[in-house]
Amino acid sequence: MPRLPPFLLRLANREFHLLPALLRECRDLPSSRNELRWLTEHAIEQAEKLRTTDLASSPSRTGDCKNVLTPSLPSKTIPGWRNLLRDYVKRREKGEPLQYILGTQPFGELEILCRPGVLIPRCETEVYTSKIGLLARTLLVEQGGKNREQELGSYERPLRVLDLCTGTGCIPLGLYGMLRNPKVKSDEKVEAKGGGKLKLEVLGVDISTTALNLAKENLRHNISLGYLPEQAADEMVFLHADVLLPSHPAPRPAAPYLIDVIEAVLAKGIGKPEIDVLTANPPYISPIHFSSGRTTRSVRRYEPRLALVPSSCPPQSSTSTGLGWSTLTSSPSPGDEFYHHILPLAKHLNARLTVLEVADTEQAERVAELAGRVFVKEGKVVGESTHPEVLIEIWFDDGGTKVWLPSDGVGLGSLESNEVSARAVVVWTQWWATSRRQQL
Amino acid sequence: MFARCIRRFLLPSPQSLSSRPGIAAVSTTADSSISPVLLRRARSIAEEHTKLANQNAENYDVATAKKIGELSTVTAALAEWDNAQNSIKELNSLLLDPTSDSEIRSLASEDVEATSATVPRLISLLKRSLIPPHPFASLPCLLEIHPGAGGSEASLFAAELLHMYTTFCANKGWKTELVKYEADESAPGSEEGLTDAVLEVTQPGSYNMLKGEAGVHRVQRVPATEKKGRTHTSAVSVLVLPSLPAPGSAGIEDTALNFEDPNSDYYINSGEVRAETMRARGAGGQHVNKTDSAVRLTHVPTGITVAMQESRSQHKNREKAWQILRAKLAQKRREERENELIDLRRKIMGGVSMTGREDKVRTYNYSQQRVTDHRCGSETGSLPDVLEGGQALERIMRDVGEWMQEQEVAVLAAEEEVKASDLKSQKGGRT
Ligand SMILES: C[S@@+](CC[C@H](N)C(=O)[O-])C[C@H]1O[C@@H](n2cnc3c(N)ncnc32)[C@H](O)[C@@H]1O
Repeated sequence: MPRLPPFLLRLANREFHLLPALLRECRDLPSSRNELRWLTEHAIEQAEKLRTTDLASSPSRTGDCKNVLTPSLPSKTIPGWRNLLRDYVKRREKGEPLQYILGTQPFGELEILCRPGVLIPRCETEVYTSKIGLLARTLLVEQGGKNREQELGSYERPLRVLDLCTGTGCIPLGLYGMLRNPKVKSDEKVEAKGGGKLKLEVLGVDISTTALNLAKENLRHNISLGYLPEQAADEMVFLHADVLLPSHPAPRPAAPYLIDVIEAVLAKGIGKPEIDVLTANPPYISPIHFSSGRTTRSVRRYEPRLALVPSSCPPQSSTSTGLGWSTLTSSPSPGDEFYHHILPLAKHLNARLTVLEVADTEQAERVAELAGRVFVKEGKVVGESTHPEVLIEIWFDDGGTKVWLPSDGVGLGSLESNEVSARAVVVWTQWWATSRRQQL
Repeated sequence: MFARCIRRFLLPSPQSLSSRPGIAAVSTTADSSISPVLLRRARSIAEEHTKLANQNAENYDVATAKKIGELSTVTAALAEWDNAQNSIKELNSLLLDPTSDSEIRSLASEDVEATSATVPRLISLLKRSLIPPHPFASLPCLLEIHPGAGGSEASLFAAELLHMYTTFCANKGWKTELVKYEADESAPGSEEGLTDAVLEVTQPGSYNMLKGEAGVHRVQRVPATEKKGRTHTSAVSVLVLPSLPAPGSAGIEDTALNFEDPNSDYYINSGEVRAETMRARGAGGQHVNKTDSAVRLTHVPTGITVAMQESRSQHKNREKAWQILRAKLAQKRREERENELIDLRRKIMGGVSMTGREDKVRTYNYSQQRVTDHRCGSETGSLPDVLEGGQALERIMRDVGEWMQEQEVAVLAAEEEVKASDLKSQKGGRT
């Protein structure tokens, strides 16, 4: 937590006349107050940076407690913070995201750099990402050590994580941090049970080079802050590729097709070209929901459409790639397109755990249904008895989990727990599914 | 120097002692005496110490060694006191012995005086060694400050107390972090008061030094806004909570403070803690970009809630909220343990309990520039120095600390009395 010197709180409190401007975006007083404090903090920091770069010889301002009761001090020694603050508040009032103004967003224990052109990590994504990290650790450390040794046989394949549509890289960076820097239990357990230190190979994929550059910068940034170990630079890769089928004709930036890129990378590695954890937060807003009130003005105006709305043409029903697309319906709901490409890929890469973010409970329902069809042969039920090796779950914003069964799936009401929205569709396979089932 | 030598020369051998009852030319004064019940307790601890030491000599065991360590302070203090008592007796017998020559006599009487002078200190050490160590004594702490009655005056004074503790810690070279700060909104823009603040003092052992600050602090002064010059009295309550080590930190696994251990007094079943985030409700995901990072934890069985919103990182807000919740629960459980004795304590301590969060502990009087602690009666005329966390404040804190120890000893003695009389009535009942 950044230190909160009392003078700062006092200062923020004194700028109370700026609160109404923030209220427009924040919508309630407590959040406005918080944002005002964070903006004030940032303004003072920036002003100080400007000052120290301007006047290299200036004496350093200490965080001495003697200054506590002299709130006028910063205004005297750091010129311009008030002007900066006023400017920030004006920008915020127009709808500019707080994170583009401040330049960062906390994500778990990391600090993610944010810049226009790349989607800002959402708090919902942060919540389920740490859930994935915890579950993966539990499986590997407490139950999986032995299974994993058997599975991997004589060679040692690293634990592979693949994040599609990675944007800032927040998901793979967050997972890497959780798998590599376990805070709670000691690493020795992993080493003892997993037979040697856990090796990681974490891949992030995006079609946007702006996003990829920022993701790479985020990797370096968090290493330099000490939030990620140096090793991360060797164990993480960000790749330029298109998740959608080449036959999918919508207009989008040109990039090599994902499956080719991935197979080339995995072929160079050790072991079978397989993935343990596949995650994706693909664009999932339908054009209707984008222009209706559901998508806020700030998001619409300031964040890249490429990150939010799938290109509008439906994929052509194709059997040419041999990944099993033929089993899919040819006209998915608008907004669902990416799932029709990602789920077969997950199956093809033998993903033990697939986590796909979704917009709401209705989309969760459709995607879970689709996952059932992709992972389980047609005509069979995804129940416990017939398919112990596949388990489909829906995760909610409040941390809630529900096992998805096609029989429950008809009524949406059954999933909707009051106001809390579904956030991710989760598919477990192989021994991960078995272990998870025991856990539940 | 010579006196020391002759004393050693004359030091009684253990056997020579037992058969000389009733000789006490120099008696100890009332305040340098120790009650028989406390002495009995000390003796039984020393016996236990000897027993365990013998046991460990034969068969070494780490847990036993630890226990021995815990008992050794009392044992050593008792041995020193016994030594002094014995020397005095021996010297006195020399003085009473008609065959002693005059040189020996004068040396002995010098020695009696010197030794007797050490007795009060030894007694006080012995008594203090008997106080069971406070389970949080070595911990860092959290100071929570709330204004009580008195409106904006109280919230202003709350901010001044926060400043007082912050500078006090800075003066001592202790690191602090303002974990939580809620400004008083009722008078925004004017002078700054607060409605809720939590200051974390990361210095190990600061709990012990600051625990005496818990209670209601009263201010008497003429508020700036007061037109008729009337003195107002307002109150601010201060809570001192132990800052428990974070889960999984090194070295806590086998201690009583391991709140992840269901057998620990401070165990928290995470299933009983409800975590709420404002942002979990309603629309989310890519459609909106919420910046709200507030977290609220509720410990369902006790209804204790902690809300944190200072950081942009929800993760950090959650960590801090947990830290405060753990502290509050630990403090509460500790108080519950003490509750069994609280009536007894109230009787002994003249109506003020040790933990006393509702009790008025100190008054800051502006017109007289005076600070008075109501528990120990300690008083200073340097109000400004106190409010700047200076020496004057430290002196009061030390006086309070002394006073608390005295109370602890009194309680201990009372407990022993109760135990002894229970034992007697049991025996009486049987025969
Ligand atoms: C909703 S953002 C998710 C960003 C990040 N994973 C997060 O959770 O904050 C979707 C990302 O998908 C990328 N994207 C859009 N179309 C793509 C495609 N056809 N192939 C690969 N990535 C694509 C966008 O550039 C954008 O960074």
